[in-house]
Amino acid sequence: MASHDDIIQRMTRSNPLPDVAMITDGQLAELTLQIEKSRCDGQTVAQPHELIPTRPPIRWLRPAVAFAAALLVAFAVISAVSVTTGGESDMANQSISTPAIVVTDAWNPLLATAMAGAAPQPAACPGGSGATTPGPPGQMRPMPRNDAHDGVFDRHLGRVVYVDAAHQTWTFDVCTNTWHQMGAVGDPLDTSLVYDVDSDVTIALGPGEFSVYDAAANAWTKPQLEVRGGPRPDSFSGVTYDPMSGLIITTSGSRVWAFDVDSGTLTHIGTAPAEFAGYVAHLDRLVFVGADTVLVDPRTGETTQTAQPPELGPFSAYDFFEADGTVFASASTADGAAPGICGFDPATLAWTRCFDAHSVDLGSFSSRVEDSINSRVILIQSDSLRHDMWAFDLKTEELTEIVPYAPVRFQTED
Amino acid sequence: MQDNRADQRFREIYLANQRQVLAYFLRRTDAVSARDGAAETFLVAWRRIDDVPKGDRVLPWLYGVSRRVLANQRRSRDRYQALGQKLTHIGPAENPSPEVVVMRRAEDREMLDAVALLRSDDQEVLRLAVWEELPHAEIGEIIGTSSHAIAQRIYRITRQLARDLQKPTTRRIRRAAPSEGGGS
Repeated sequence: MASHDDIIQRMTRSNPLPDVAMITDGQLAELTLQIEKSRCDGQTVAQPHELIPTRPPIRWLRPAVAFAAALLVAFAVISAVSVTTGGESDMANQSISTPAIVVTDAWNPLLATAMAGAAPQPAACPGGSGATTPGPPGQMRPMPRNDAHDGVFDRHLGRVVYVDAAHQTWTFDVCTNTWHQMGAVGDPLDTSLVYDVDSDVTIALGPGEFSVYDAAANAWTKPQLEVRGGPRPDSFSGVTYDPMSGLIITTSGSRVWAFDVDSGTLTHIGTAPAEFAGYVAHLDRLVFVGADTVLVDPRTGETTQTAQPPELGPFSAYDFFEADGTVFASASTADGAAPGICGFDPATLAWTRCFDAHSVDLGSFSSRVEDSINSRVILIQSDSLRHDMWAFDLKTEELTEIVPYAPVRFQTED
Repeated sequence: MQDNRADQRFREIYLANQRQVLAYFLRRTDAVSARDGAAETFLVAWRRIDDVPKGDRVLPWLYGVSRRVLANQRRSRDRYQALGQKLTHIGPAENPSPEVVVMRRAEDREMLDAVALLRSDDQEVLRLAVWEELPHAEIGEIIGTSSHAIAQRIYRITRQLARDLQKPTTRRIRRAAPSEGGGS
């Protein structure tokens, strides 16, 4: 086996540009010209706030950092919930700041008055089918999109619904670990997906886009929206299903909206205190993340504010998973990095450990979709050069590759 | 007055680092994309001149921006190709990248193939260390970890590469035997 030095030497030899002096004056002149032209035009070719490394990205998978981060989050969440519920946790007394509670007068009580309908019977894998058996290695597969909510689990269908980078609708059968290209009518563009459990449809929200996928009809439709409480929003940020009201909660700018797919009604609920990150069922709180972490009671608008440890931000989305009373959580950062999957103890409301998968970079999977049939989280690769899929078993906490690695090639039915 | 000082500082940053930043992109993508990426990186620096650190920390900061710019470029290219071609595979860029040129040499091809199978962060750590010749502390600043951790990581990466170069298909943990048949 080659030695460390041998590998370094080989890597050095493979450098396409071993010396910066090989860059010509002409190349530099072209670069200078392009920059000067953009500066003169005032042209923005990037969103600087998205690109600037304001702080080094966290890597929760390193145990020491993970432990410290878990403690800080625990303190923040515990202090927030303790005040909200009137509890007197000793740990809450150790919180890093005193939370403030604000009740927003203008909060629409719709999420308290609406009631979710009966959820359809979830699908079950047929006897003998092994969900842990990897799917066919040569199967067709979608082009990864690298967005946090590009896939959702339709538990009635028993499949992950996924819209890929080519805006094609795919479903992933969690019993056979096989992708199916649906050839659906009216595929949506770049959207975030959410599964509306009691209405049994998948909803896609995006810039100028509001579509509903009926799996039985294999068609996306754009509903006629009745917008209440403000002008129709043209883009959305963050989306979740509220199991209590049966409505979809999303935000647009600083506005919180609730969508009733059955009536086609989009209702302005209140004001978002920060960027919408997700919903924690155990707390029945919406989570907003900005300079602080803000928990909002979706029923009353009661806001609990707590200082957020700066090492934890900024996350663009949180996902929570549960099996047998054990809760797991994951998060996506704005720059695509992610800490992977971490434990979350509902008894103490504390983050526990994050799972280090050694040879599998959990952070490179942009989509983490809960497969409630098999009590696992489906991890969909975000790197188009390494398309494979894994499943994190919520009971055994084991990782299994469920769609083998495929080289840089995606097949289509054409 | 303030604008003049900011402008002067930007020019100093640009003149001192233009070759390194352009080289960063030329080592990872084609010539046109490299120029776009380098320009974008410096435009970020210009717009956020107050956030650019001083002294020796400028170049690692620029590499950190470059890394994100490159990731955005790749995402955009993937989407463009997917839309335009209803692709059957991810094709190469119109202009062959320096990596593609180098891959014509069989000895390097094998090495670059093995590197491409590493975790994306590991690829970047290795390239920053070997191609950019950055000290471990500066790589740590870009990646978000300590100098010691980078040293350990590079050692782990080289051991992984050594194993992969012996058995290029060896990957993954707990891989069960795949089922028969093709896709749907």
